[in-house]
Amino acid sequence: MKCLVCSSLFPDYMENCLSQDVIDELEHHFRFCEKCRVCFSTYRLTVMLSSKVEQPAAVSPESVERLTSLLIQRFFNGARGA
Amino acid sequence: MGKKRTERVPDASVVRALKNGDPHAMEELVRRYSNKVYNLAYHLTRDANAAEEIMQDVFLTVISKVDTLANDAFFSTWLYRVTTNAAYGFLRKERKFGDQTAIDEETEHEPSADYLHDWTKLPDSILLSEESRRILKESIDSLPEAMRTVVIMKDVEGLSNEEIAQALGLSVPAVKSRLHRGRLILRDMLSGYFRKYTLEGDHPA
Ligand SMILES: [Zn+2]
Repeated sequence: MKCLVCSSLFPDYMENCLSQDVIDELEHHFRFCEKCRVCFSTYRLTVMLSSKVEQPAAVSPESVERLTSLLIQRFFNGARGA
Repeated sequence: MGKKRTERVPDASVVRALKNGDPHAMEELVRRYSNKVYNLAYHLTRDANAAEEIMQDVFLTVISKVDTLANDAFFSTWLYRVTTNAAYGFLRKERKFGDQTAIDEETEHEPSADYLHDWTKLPDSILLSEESRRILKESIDSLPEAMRTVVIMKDVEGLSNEEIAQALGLSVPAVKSRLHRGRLILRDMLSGYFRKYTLEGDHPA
């Protein structure tokens, strides 16, 4: 396996959607290629850090209420269901 | 559908109820998706006021056009598409995040000289520091728009490749390719940033 091919498989490898023989080949390559090994571990950690970069922003209950009222007014003539 | 918990009811059923004029169905969809729409809009625009406005416009649009939705199961991807379009509209108007030149799908990413520099063993106090988060955030914002959107939708918001593809009108392979190249750029930027810490480790005083 060439290094360029190896690197192109990272996304599918992370999502567990490679066939077992490709996984075996990839992991065999990792054992002998330090470059790809480091590339993959830094790649994977980058993805993990991206998932933590933002605090989930919660929309305030007031704006949800405002939105709901607006929609009820606009589309249901102001009548909420019983 | 009454006031009781309706989490398990599939979206398609709720959407069908909405098409039949059930206001509870509309409220349920707001409950399920207002936070997701708001977060996506907020992370794409980095502007809380814009995100609220976009959230409102998105729901006004989808509720007024819900009868045109052919497949009720695609409600959420439709919602994400309307949201990303609204966020793009805002960004264009504000000219945020600099040059948005189209990306060349064929360009191969050149690995940086840092490729053998392993920073994954650094302690969390460095990896997750305020500064490193700021660097990563700025790096994400400096990506070409097409990559930035996909990285935010996938790695920040946790949407699936299929959802992103449908929301952006792309093929799944195109989503994966943009995502991969965006991540490689971010990785190189982080490698550059973390170098000062690994150098310290390599050469103890
Ligand atoms: Zn290699």
